[in-house]
Amino acid sequence: MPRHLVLTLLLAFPAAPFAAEPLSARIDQLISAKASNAKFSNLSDNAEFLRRIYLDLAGRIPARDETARFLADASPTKRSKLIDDLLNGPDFPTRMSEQFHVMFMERLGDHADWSAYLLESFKKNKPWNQIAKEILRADGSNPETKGSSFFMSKRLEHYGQQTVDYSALTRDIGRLFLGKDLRCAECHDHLFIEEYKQKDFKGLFAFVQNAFLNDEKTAVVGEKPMPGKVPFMSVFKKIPKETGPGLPGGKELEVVVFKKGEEYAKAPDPKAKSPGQLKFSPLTLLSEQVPSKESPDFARNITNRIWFLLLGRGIVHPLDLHHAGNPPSHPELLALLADEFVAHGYDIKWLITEITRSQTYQRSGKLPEGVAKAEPQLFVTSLEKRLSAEQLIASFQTALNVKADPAAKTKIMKAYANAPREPEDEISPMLKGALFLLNDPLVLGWLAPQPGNVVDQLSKKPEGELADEVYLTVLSRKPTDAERQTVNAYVKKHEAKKAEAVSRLVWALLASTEFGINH
Amino acid sequence: MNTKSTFCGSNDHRLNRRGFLGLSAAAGVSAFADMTGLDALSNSALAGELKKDQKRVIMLWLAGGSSQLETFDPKPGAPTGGPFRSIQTAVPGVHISELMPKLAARMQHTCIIRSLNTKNGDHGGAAKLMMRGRRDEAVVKYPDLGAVMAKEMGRADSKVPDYVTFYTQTEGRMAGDSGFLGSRYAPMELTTNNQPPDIRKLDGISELDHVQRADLRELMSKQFSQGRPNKVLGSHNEAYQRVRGLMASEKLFDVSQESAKTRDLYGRSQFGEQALIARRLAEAGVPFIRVARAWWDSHGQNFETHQEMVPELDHVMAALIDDLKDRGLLENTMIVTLAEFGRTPGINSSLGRDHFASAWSCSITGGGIKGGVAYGKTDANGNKVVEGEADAAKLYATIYSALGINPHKNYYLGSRPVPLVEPGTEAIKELVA
Repeated sequence: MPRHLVLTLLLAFPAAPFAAEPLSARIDQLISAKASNAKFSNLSDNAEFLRRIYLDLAGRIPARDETARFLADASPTKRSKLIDDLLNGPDFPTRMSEQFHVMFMERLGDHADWSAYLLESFKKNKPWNQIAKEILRADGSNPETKGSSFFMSKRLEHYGQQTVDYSALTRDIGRLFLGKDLRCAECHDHLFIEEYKQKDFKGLFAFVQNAFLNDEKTAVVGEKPMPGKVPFMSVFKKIPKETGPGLPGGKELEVVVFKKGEEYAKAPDPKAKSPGQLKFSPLTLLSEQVPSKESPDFARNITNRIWFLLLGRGIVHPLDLHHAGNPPSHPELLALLADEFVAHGYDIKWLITEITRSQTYQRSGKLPEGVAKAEPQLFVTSLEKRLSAEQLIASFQTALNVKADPAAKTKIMKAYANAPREPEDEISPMLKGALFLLNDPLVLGWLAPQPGNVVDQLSKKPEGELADEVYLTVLSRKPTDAERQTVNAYVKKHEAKKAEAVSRLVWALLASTEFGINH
Repeated sequence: MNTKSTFCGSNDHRLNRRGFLGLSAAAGVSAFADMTGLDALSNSALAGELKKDQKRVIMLWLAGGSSQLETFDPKPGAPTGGPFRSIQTAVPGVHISELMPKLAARMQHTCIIRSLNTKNGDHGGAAKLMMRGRRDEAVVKYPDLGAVMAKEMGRADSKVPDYVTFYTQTEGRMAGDSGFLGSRYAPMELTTNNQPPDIRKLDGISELDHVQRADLRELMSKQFSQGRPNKVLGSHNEAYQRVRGLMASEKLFDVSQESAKTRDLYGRSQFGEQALIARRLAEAGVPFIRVARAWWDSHGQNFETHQEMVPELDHVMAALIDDLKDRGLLENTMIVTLAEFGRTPGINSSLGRDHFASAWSCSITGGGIKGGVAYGKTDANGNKVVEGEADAAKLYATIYSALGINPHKNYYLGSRPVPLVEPGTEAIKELVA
């Protein structure tokens, strides 16, 4: 977006009238303003909120005792307090690093340095512009940030006879950092999306086309000197054109070409597996250009993605199609979130605090009496979200009080993660997952009654407590009267083999829709 | 040829972006999803027609590349001909290799295409090409025939998988690939034995237990969905319902359910047994089954290899044809016998034949293809196609047309229309019944 447009937006939607209010309240006002006649769902009850906030911020369901404590707490500020506790708790950095891994690597692979880098970054609550800068610079020489290069290095690998897929790398940078999928603009100006030009694709491509994987094991990325601008030609109009590096819709940067032999500030050293450092480094430019205030797409993209993670749908949706023909459902809201996010120093934790404190986030997923349908883009009700394989693993562990070893984790990943390159941005039917839960010995083994395990402990509870305990343990809530009756009747019928009956009950709840999604 | 301009610019394909987004959101599909929903809306009569007779495909995949000269396009007496003779088939004037007497006797059901020129002699690339009918682009990974069949012929309420692939041998093993259609249409892969993983319930769990677990699960999920309009929630339950069907289909993968007579008909070889399972699956409504039989890559001792392997292929093809015919399934079930390429007419110093993609053969039987036809012609030594040249796109246009799938229909990648076959390609009319 050109700068004058940003100014216009700022003038059109001045922040002044709300200035004194926290962002969470302004979110609710803007959502209400758009909703007009649509009826809102009630505020979630405590158990619904509790499970949701744990899954979103700690990446797992609350443990039985955590649930009981929260439900018994009478303090009127307990929700805000819990949000703060979780954001500052030990699970938050893990949860964020896993979620950002899934979103940015799209199951292409993993690397120990990369996970360590992400975890450390979220432990320090590193500003997003800094994380993005480090990821895009892909500098393997700095020991503190070397894991950041994996985003780039994995995409610079080549498999067998296939060459490095620079187009995919270009696209992924556009999609994941700027919210723009330039796929169709590689060979010609996009036919349906006016502002996606072939020059935009080639400009982004110019930043990475000379990058290469220096060392797969350490994920070190290097760059060859850039010989000049990137030539291109539309497949429709065969007119030769060229461009230097530049962001979509942004300024084209000058290419500085050094004489042969003088390109490097620090020469490559094959012995030390060091790719050297170019005087004119397009990756350095990329890492400065993308996460900058001059690039409005950058803040809009990440705020939209964080909104999606918490609310189940982007304000711009699909997440990687920001363009005039696919406008945000709430333009003022997206502008506000992005501006405030930048004003608060790209602080992800702050943004999450504000969003989760809003009523919009804390609404129930149940429609009010008499309402059959709600438009998802109005955010008048809470939308169900997919559970990642990581959230499932952590939730199995919490519910059953077990520890999954690496082999067990791999198994669960296989059953629930998407194929590589498929964004996990919607709830999708999980045939593999269902088969896994039904027949794989792993979870069934955890559920077999053994002295001291969860099923054993539950089955020793007296009849009056059993149903409540099972529900608190697995679904993080108390059962309804009807559910209590169902459980009691079922257990009574199988009195002779009570532990087995409880095991089946717990299994049925683990396999239920309610457990399998974040609602 | 500038193929892109023939579809990207077409007015027919211009879409209202908002309209697309609205519809796809309602149907709960992602940005990657296709728009068959839209196709069906604009042409529902046609869609109904297609679904009416559920077509199925059994693909016999000859990994490594079988020789056309020792199968469908013999050249006895030519310097390139090798030691085997050709024999008269049930169709006057059509001769095939003497290694395939059983198929020869059933030639009226089968068509042979002798004029494939597919231009790719590299195992990996050629196999991808011949499984998809087109080349991946940098930005588009195409679905293979199995995924397209799963999508076109699979039913939402199906109790069986949509796409099953057997690839037990390691040579050229290539996973089925649903490309941009996504994992919804990805295959069930069987690489180690003939039973899919996790499909069988654990021995420790009784049938009664199993049923009870499922009923309990349903009971306990019911309440949750009330008052929640999100349609995708249903997909969670749907997954378990489909699994129930899948597990019931466990027996489909069990050849011992067949009579000894039928098992003998197919032969007790791995290839034969997998072909028999393929028939069982097709009968139960699985739209696409691939059975791969590897080790055709005969750079040395081509003739011994083919002497050993072609009769097995001949036997299995004949068994499939007879069995499908007896069951009234041949009309709706297509057997495609295909490899990534053929083999050179020239015989090398190891008495082998090398990779050859410029004049080779395949065979298609049943499922809407015209039988008793030998289409296309190669020259006297089999070096090049002299009549009816067909590339991979043409072959696929023919397969789709015979199956009643419009080869020019579009799938959608985001907003981009992607036609099923390379634009401008027409089916071989002579072969479509």
